[in-house]
Amino acid sequence: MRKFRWAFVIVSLLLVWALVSACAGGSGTSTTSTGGGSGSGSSGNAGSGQTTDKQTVELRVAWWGGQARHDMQNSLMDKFEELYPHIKVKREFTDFAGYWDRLATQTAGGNAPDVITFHPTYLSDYAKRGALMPLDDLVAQGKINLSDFDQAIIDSGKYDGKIYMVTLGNSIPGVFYNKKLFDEAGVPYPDMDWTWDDFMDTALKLSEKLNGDRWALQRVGGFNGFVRQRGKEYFAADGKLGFDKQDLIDFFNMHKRLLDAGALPDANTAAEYLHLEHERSLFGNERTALLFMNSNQLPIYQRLVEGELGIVREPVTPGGQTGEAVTGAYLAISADTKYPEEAALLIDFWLNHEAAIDIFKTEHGPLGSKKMNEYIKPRLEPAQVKMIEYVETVAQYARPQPDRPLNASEVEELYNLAEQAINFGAKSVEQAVDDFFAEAEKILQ
Amino acid sequence: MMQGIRKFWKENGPGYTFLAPWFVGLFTLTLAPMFSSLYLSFTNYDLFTKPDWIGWGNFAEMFRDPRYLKSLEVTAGYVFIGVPLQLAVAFSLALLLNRGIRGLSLYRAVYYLPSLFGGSVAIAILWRQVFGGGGLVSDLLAWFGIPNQNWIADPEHALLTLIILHAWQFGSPMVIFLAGLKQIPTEIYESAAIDGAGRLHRLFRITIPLITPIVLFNTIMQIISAFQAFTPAYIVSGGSGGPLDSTLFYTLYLYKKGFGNFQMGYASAMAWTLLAIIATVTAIVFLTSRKWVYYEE
Amino acid sequence: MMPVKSTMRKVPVHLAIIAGCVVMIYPLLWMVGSSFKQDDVIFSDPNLFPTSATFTLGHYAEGWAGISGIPFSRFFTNTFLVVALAIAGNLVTCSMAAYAFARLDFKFKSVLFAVMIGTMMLPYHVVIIPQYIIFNSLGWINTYWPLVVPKFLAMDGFFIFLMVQFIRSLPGELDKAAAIDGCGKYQIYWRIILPLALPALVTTTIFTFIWTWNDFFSQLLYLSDVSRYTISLGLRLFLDSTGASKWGAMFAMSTLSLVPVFFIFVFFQKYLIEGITTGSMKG
Repeated sequence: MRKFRWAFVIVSLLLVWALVSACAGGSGTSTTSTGGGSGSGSSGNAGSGQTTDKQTVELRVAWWGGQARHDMQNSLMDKFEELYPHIKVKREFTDFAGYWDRLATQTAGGNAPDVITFHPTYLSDYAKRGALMPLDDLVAQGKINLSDFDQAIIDSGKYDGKIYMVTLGNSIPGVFYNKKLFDEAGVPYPDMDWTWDDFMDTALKLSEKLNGDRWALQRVGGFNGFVRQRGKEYFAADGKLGFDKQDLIDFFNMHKRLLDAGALPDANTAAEYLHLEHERSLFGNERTALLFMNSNQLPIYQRLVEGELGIVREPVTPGGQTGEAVTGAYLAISADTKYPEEAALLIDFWLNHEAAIDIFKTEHGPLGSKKMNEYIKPRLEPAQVKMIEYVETVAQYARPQPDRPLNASEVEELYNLAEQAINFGAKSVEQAVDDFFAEAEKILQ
Repeated sequence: MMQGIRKFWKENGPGYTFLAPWFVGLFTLTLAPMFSSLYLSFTNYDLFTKPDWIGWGNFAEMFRDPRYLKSLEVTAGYVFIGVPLQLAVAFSLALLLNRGIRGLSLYRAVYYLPSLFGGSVAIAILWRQVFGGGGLVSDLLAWFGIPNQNWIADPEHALLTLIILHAWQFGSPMVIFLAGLKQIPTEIYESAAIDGAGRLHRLFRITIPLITPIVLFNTIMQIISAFQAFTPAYIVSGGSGGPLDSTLFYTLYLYKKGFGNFQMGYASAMAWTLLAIIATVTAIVFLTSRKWVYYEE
Repeated sequence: MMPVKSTMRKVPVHLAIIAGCVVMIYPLLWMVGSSFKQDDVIFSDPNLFPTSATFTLGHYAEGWAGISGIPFSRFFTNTFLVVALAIAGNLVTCSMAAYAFARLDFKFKSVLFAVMIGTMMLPYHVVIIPQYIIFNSLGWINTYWPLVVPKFLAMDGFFIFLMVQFIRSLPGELDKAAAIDGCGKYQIYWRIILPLALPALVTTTIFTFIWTWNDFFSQLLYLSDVSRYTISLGLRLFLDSTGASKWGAMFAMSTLSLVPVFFIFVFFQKYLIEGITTGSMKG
């Protein structure tokens, strides 16, 4: 029992030490859960010549990312606090997966952060349910200055006709290709406006020459663009599926042809690499030569591979419409915020201020502001410049698409399952498409 | 009336006093959330807006949902194979390590190590290194002439790798078995030895009967927790439950529906259905326990 | 004759145990080995341990430096605090509840016991939102209270049940003898049951330590201030969705975070050895 007493003493000491250091550290960050309240020590530093004495405001900002981004955005917030001393920015960040769980819980509990980094996947879920604040007024008043943003880019942040989020960095889907592997296989690089037939040819030729555990590409993406080229939409304006069974059959038949020819990896490998991070992916390890991906990921992959990467549009359908749509990463304001003005200040700073762009650069892709893109171009990596030029070239082809219905993500999961079933030979293309339609229609009613 | 209260307190006072903290927790933090989730299972709660009553709608939809049925199948496989397997390993090792072998403490600690990982992110990577294409298991099996295979990305075998993961982390029930074994007074063994009882006799007539309360405990707790298993499937399959939903555990699907698709009403319905299933299975085990559990009171 | 026979029987047993050990710790060895390898070879290297060419100590330094100016030692301290409080809470309140269920008689006992078991059967994902709302209304978000207070309210049914089973296997005559000697229910709890249930208390300590140490989801939801993060949250900060995950640092810190857990287990398992001695039985 004596040893037990010793253990008890040690644990108690640890407890005391931990308590002391936690309290000492915790006092550095204010913890008022209802967001600061008014007048907790007004800082008279609002700059001489101001007529009103600004009260200290605590603004909460949330983002996802890794260490590099956390450090960078912390400096960004520090810079903002320098310029606006009456605003204290409380930073909340975590990894991508945990971010959305936490955000959903906070929002359900009425405790969402003021400024939220956001993504189109969740726009309808949050906007339709009133969790985000419409920004039209703030934009109209110029408090969030979008005057030199492309209209298409502004529109990409709309839901039900209102602006709910503004672009941090935009992105248009394209196809990356690895010049080194193309050279090795002796296949000419794809054209900017290549067709689906060109794509099939290229993939088949690549697979003839790439041996062993290398393939032309991991999976055929771009179904959204494919469907839009046929004048339809993935999700129609009425919230149902916007395409026909034959469209999906045609698309999956392309996939199956490549699978059978060995241009795609076997089902097991495809399943294994489906969710892996960039640095462990097939394309990131130069085991595939093509990749359907959003343009803002180009610099990420370029940092991982030796060969030079190029980017072209997703394959087009001759005589068809253009399939591109604008996406990216965005900033939104919580509907429950007590500080919409200050939130707008932060967003405007982030998007339009040179001091911010110096730090932020093109973290999420080409910036919304044309002026800022020009400003920062000289200091970017070649891949980042390529990414900007791609968007500038291709933005003319982008057309707005209908709002995503609720439950869209579930349907997209069904799509992935259908593709997997075809890979594993568990279902024929027709069977997979039939099942997909049956389930998707149930979900979307 | 005061007489009645005083009598009540005299008889039940100590019991309720010792239960007081539990009562407080029950009424403030447990029952309220539980009952609200029960209510929500009859609504279309989507986390952000006011829920509307839809009666049995969620439940009806569940049993017509192929992915729901698949998750039941996957979880049943995990529970009814994984739990007995893990307990058998835990018990055998507890018996083995209960002897006076040299280096015992070290062995015991090493066998407990896998359970220390819990839901660490590292597990996903480690497990892929072991069971992935060209991983350790494939290398080992190659010695026996079995061709290289990717166990983790194969719909036929992915669940098996998770069952093995579960059995690999047998440390907790093993420690509990060990604690139970240690609580058996040595005099009983000594007097049995004096009476000429052999080792097997001691095992079957003394050890096993006396350890049955612990066996019951471990069985029930493992069943309850295996039905609710989430983390292994989540991290090994990257949150997908794949490939082809072969690792779509019940609570993983519940989580996807609730947090991913904002269908928290549906998720609550799933949760209460699971509770009913677990309660039924547990009740069966409890009821049969009268036949085989021996308490020394 | 005897010594040879027993040695020969022991060797295969030892070998089997050692082989089992290797199986147990192979993945762990892989992780430890990787924490000393350079980032670019971690996933491609077939060797378990680094060679002199691929060896690096950098990950430990890098990992320890933490994230955004918050050293990893901070995460350790935070976790120690939460864990210590959780252990204290569980030991006190779960043993009290277990004593009530196992040794005392009171009205509605079996109903309440069933309720206690029942509370463990509902997946936490559906109670987490209502609980979050309750904690939010108390202003406890971004503090450690939601993680610790439940432990002081005996909300871990697992440990209540565990201790109930242990206490039930203690002979009832002990209680009767003590009652005859004039002990009240409270004294029986304190003087007799608790000391004899030491293995159960130690088990509770070990498990509470390990499970709280490794817990992730509730910490993710309730702690938004990075300076309050625990180890499991801190480890995830090394992951990066932009291709720059710091695997080496993550493995290094994971390895390091296993050390206290392992140590606690080794230290406390001795108390699992102390069962009932003849002295206490007769005394």
